[in-house]
Amino acid sequence: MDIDGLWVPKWQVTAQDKVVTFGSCFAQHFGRALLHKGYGWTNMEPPPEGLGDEGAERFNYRVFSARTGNIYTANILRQWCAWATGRATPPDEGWQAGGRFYDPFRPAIEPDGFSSPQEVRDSRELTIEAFGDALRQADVFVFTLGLTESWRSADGEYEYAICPGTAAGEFDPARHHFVNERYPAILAALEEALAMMRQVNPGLRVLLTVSPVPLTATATQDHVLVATTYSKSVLRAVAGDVAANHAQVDYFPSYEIITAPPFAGRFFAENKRSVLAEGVAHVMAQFFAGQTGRYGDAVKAPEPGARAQRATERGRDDLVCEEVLLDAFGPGE
Amino acid sequence: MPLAPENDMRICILGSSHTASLKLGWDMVKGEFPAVDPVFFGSPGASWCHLRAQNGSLISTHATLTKSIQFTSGGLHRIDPADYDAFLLFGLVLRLPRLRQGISQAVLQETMQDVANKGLTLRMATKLRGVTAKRIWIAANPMKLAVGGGVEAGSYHAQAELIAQMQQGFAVSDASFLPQPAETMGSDMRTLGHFGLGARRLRPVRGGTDDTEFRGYAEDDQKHTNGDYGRLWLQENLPVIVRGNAG
Repeated sequence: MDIDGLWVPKWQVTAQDKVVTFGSCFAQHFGRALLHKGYGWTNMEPPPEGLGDEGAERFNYRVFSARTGNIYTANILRQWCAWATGRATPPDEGWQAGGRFYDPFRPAIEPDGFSSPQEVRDSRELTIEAFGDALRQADVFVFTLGLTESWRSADGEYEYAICPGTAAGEFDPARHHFVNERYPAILAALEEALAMMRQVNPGLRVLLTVSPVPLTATATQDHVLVATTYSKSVLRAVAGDVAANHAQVDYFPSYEIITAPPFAGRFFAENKRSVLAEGVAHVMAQFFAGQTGRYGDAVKAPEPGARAQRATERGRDDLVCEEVLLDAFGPGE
Repeated sequence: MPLAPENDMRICILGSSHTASLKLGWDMVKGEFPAVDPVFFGSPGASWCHLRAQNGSLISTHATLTKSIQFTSGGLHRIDPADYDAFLLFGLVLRLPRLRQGISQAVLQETMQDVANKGLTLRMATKLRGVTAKRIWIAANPMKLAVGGGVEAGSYHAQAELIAQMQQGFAVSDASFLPQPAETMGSDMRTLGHFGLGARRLRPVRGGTDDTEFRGYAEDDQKHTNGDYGRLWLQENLPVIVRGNAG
């Protein structure tokens, strides 16, 4: 089914724009698609030089523009912004399992955890620095809202990425609280995050999306279908209002593109939860169509001569190497 | 070919274009090492893929490599392990990464394993080990040269740590690493700018007539180092090689 004009962008994203992507797992697709299409997706925490693709994937590099792991809620986004802008520091709390240590704010970032609490902190510091670079240097910040359900420290000071005790650590009802955020708190958290972003980067444009991926489980008393509808409705409403409040903030309807009744759930996999590659492609096609429809082609196809140019550069490199040898081993001046 | 005088230590140096700095350095320090006799075999890195073992020697199967090793070794066209006391693989597309402090030990280990496994040097060391039981030494490419003369902020894993991790990857070839001299590097794990070829003018080749034709390449080049670098490298590492063979 072809439905056009699903998105009329507020502003243009050009090939020269530095775009960073964060958010729930659906946001991962955004970055990859932008890169593939020739947009300037920017990775502020790239894999270490020399680490192969397999290792980079295993250690969760290149998933988002910094190694934050999934940021499911507006409040966790606010938290990362506060850490990156120096308004707050992460708590000294770590999770343990099987003699390894896990970051409560990125519990799956290292497949086998860290070797020590200090290693957890050091690694997170690099990510906070990279996230800060993303805030300061990006032209476009794409954020996908995923959940309203959250797990907080008892004092409410900070929010965990997931429920303590699920991937690592131990759930302690005295220290860990469940909160299903409501519209005003989510709006406030997102507005606060935006204010921090604007303070360090006044020109930053923000593109909000809502993940179409339904909840697998809920910590509320509601049925997961009801919980999903609550969560997505609230997030969608917040995203819409924030976009309406700020010229620099736009909303892109990836949620609607996947879940709208005319598409009859065809973009979901058998489990009725995961979004198929076809669905992701459809979402991104709408993004690019929206941009092109309003502003024309922002990204040109690679020049036919680009490959030849690269080959020439390689040739020059070889020439330099030969030259250096000739100079050292040849007869003296 | 004439063998080295008795007691001289003959070292076979197989390397990329980085060998040039060693050769230039050797010309400066040879007086300090009268009992060492290095034989250089230099050729652009990738060309070394065309080296293969034949009847206990290593021979080139490609014209570019053949030409290079003949030119740099003073006419030799094969590498016969019997002629040498030790081997040095120098700068054969083995780049030590600059790794920020803060990455986990697991990431560090996997990165260094990948660096070791993917490089030409491991293949060369394994090939060489197939034809000789003599000592094999390895040196990575010089770290990339500092840009603009400054030292970048940030703390990085030290060279010794990287080498220790990578050494495991070379266990199969029983080769030992030699470090880049500390005095040639900044705290940002880059080679200090003044060890670059800099504005040094290169001789035009391939029919070039204007001797400024290749000057730009040298100025832009952030990889190659000069004779001073080679001199310091040899002064630090030749005694280790000599002692290693004595031991």
